[in-house]
Amino acid sequence: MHQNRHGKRSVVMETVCDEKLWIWHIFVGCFVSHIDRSVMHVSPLYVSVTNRDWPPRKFSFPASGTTRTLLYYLVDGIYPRTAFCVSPFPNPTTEVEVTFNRLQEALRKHVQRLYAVLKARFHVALHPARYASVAQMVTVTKAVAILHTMVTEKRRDEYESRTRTAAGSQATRGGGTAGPGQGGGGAWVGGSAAAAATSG
Amino acid sequence: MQKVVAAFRVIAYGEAPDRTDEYVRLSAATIAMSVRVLMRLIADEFGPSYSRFSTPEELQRILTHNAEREMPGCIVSLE
Repeated sequence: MHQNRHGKRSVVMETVCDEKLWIWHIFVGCFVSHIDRSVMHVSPLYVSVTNRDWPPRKFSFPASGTTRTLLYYLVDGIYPRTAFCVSPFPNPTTEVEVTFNRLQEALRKHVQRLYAVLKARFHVALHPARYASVAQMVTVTKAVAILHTMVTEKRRDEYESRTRTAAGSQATRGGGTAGPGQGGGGAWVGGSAAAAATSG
Repeated sequence: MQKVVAAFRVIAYGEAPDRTDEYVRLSAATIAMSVRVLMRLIADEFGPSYSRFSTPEELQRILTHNAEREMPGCIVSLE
């Protein structure tokens, strides 16, 4: 069951990341014999979207003359056609379709790049997992993703990354103190606390 | 400390567990055990704070950034 198309043991990852390779969402541990669309149907992301918990409907954007409020993800062609997934045209012919595909793939290439970076950075993801149990593979994948996100924020060292860490620890601890290793500076911690309170 | 070093060498370099024993002087079984413990600790300890939905202001920043790239309303890409 947990074999990929090459006959090797593996697990399926479903990830959401932005252009800085910050992993926003990861879901692992599904059977590999699922194709990608059925992975998506058991994913917590899909469940929260169908329950209308996520994404928030407060944001709106103009699209082809109308204003829409459902934010969307960029996916590739094998995902099911749902309202929150925007896939490229399979056979672009007109100039509009070609341009759309170019813009869509220009943003989607970052998530392709994520897999290469993950494998290059943590070689444990490269090697055969022949003797590892499924639970171990899932744990390793999650830990690698978390380590990668830590590396990303430390390398970046911007205001943005620090606010993300602070907001994350605030969300986890329910308004407690900020986590260790975030340095001093009470101003931005207080600012993100106010942001977390308004989001909650 | 030795165990942490050995475990991170296994994770980052993809080494076999008995490769590091001359470097940190641990047995293969100890290193394999410590890799598992460390992975589970990382996933349990930091998982909730790192895997979460973005806050509204982060989302707004992403949206404005993507609108400059002529894809308004796009959150991020999913694979």
